[in-house]
Amino acid sequence: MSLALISFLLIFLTNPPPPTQIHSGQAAVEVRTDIGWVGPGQAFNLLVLLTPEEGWRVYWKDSGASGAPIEIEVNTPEGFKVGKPIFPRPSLFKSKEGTTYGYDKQCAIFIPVMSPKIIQTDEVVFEVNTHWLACKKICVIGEQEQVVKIKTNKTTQGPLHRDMRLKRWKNLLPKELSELSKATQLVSNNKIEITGTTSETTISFIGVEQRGVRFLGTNQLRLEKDQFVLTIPIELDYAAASAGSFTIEGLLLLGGNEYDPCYVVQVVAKPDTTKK
Amino acid sequence: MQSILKSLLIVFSSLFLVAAAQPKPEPAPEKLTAEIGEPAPAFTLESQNGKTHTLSDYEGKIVILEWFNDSCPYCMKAWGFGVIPKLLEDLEDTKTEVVYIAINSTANRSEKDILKSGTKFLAEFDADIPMLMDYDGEVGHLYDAKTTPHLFVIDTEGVLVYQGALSDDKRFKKGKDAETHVLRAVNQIISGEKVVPSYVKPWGCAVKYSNGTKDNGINRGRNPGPLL
Repeated sequence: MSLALISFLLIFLTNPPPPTQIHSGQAAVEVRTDIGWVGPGQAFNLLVLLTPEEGWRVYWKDSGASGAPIEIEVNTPEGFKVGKPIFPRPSLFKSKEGTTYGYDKQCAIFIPVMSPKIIQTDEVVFEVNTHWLACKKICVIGEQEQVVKIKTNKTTQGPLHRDMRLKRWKNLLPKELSELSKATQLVSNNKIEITGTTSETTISFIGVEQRGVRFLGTNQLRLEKDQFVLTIPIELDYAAASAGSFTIEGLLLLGGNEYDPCYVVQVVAKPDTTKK
Repeated sequence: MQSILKSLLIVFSSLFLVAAAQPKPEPAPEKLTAEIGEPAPAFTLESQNGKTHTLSDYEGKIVILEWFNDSCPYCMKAWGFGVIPKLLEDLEDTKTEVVYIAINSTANRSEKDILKSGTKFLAEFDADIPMLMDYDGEVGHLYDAKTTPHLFVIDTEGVLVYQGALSDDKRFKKGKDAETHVLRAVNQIISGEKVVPSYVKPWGCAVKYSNGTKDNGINRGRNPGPLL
């Protein structure tokens, strides 16, 4: 064995290379659309696919006890309008420090877009900026900007992509509460009460906290045959409300896994409706 | 005698059945230890310099507690983008006695390492503030500190008047010009106003609390691998 090789082995064995530090935000982002091309007055979606690396998690639009939500900003071509991102049902990660809401597998976030009635260019460009916090034993911030180019047609609306995954991703999005049998939602006496009919016995709620709205986390569930009443205690501070009332948002989760259905809860609380 | 005993048995059995049939009172919502409008929980902790700090040392002063972790990217940005250094300057400008304390409840590394890196971090910013070591997380749990950063403001009467987010600018787009809830709360105290809002949901990394074991699982077994 040559002296050089021995020296190399000695150096290598006594000084192993330092571990590679990855600061990519521990997640991959892909942005796509659900249509082949865009025509005038067409409603379609941009999809942000965020895939955390194994063992890492990213957070829902309310991260729960800790963490920070995924945030998406879209720069649109002139005349195009974007709606609020629609997040799929998150998983609940429980620990003694509290429960966080998020994703440890790929999540597809839908961003509704409406095109203008008149399209003048042959192609439109969307810039999508995604910002997230990924946590494992430690947390890292990730940010990525991606550009999506879509061909246009000045007279005909584009077809939906024939991608089976689209259907699967759509199925994971929350449904309207009206789609749940006999569903009602009510705000009174500093609590939200949701009722409905289901064969599921695991029923929970996760709320989107905002300034002046606090979920106290001691939800109570009453089950009678297939009827349920879920009571969610809340604390409202009307002094902090900018418009004098709150639109309280959350998700009603049926069942315990990510493929089970979930429903959008949206109730308006005004001072007179919540007096004790 | 036997009939008396029998009667007593029937009476006691009936009483027991009646008691058992009573509806159980609904459990009261879990009370947080640190509550807005209530006296801030007392604590005694040691700083990076080995000095003991007790909350009551600061009676009559406004006290700000920042839950801190030098390896959390949100703390790094809050300091690195100048939000907290600017806040410290602004607090000085209020000409009121305000005490700013960083509390470190991080326990995902050895205590020695956390003390060393936290001290180095603050020294790099020339921050002349105490960093109190709470390795067992007792004070963190007492205040129910969830994130780093998570801010608490205690008024001159020792009452907790604000807890929550540092600011609304969690992506640090405004840099050091972000309006902090802390400065807003302090100004409200000084001008005698009610601190509103008293709570804004905190954001940031989860506090890396101790798992309750003496070594927190650090260096247990074979090479645990590096922390990324």
